[in-house]
Amino acid sequence: MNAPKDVFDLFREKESLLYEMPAKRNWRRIERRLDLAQNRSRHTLGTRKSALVGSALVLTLTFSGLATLHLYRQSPLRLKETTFTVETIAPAPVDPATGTFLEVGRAIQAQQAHIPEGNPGQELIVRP
Amino acid sequence: MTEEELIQACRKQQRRAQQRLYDRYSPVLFGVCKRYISRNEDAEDVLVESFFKIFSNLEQYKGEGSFEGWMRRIVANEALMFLRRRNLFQFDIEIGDLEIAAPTPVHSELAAQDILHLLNQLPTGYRTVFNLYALEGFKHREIAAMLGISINTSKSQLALAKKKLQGMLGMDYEEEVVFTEQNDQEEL
Repeated sequence: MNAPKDVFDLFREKESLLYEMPAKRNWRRIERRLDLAQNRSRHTLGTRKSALVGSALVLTLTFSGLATLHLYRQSPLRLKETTFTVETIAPAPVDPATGTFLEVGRAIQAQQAHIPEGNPGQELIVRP
Repeated sequence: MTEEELIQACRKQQRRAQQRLYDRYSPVLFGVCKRYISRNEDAEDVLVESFFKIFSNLEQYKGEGSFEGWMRRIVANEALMFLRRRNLFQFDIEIGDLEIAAPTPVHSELAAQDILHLLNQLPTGYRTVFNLYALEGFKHREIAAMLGISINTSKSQLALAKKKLQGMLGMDYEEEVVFTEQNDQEEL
């Protein structure tokens, strides 16, 4: 006969008798849940990546806009720093050939017939 | 593969490692489930949920204390949640500030089925407190917080569970109940 035991000790000692391999289907259930959670996590990660890229784009555009605005605001200052001088430009020598061409053009314009301004009830007739 | 290596591999979501961990610990943890929940299918549901939580929260295990102990706590919590959801807790009997004076000797040879049968004979409240106190090693203060009951209720449930178990084991036993207040701190 074994030595007397407290009921707590008895159950503590015998607890290992309850160890039992659960049915195989339970591992498959756990696996399915893990797969589902992983897929969900990947989807969330994908959404987060897209959101991150979108945010980066918005930030870049905002930054570029701000930089451009800043430079634009700085430009009058640059103009102030610039010195302006007025110089007389000597007339460039005219090429005789170009001069002749211009004179011929002016002569042709002068030869063109003047079209008189008519009055109501009159008709403009062109005779070659 | 050592336990530490297995945990590391599971943290990397390696399915083979997860299965090895399951194969190694599922018999123990299924035993824990069966102590709390009498119906086998329900115990299996709790086991599946517990393993899912174990794999999902492995980052929280910092290597302080035993890994098996950490997993047992998750299973116990999951079992309590299951019982709470089903409204199976009944803690309406409270004796007062009592304490069982001394361990009561029993002579018994029990098989697994006998243990399960004895535990299943207990009302859910008795069984839960008995499991948490005698087998998981929680203090009455912790049990009271976990179950949302008073410390005295926890003590009462344990005393009644013990009495009933000893009665079922067919022992000539007189429950020795001592009312105490001054020893509460030691007992907690």
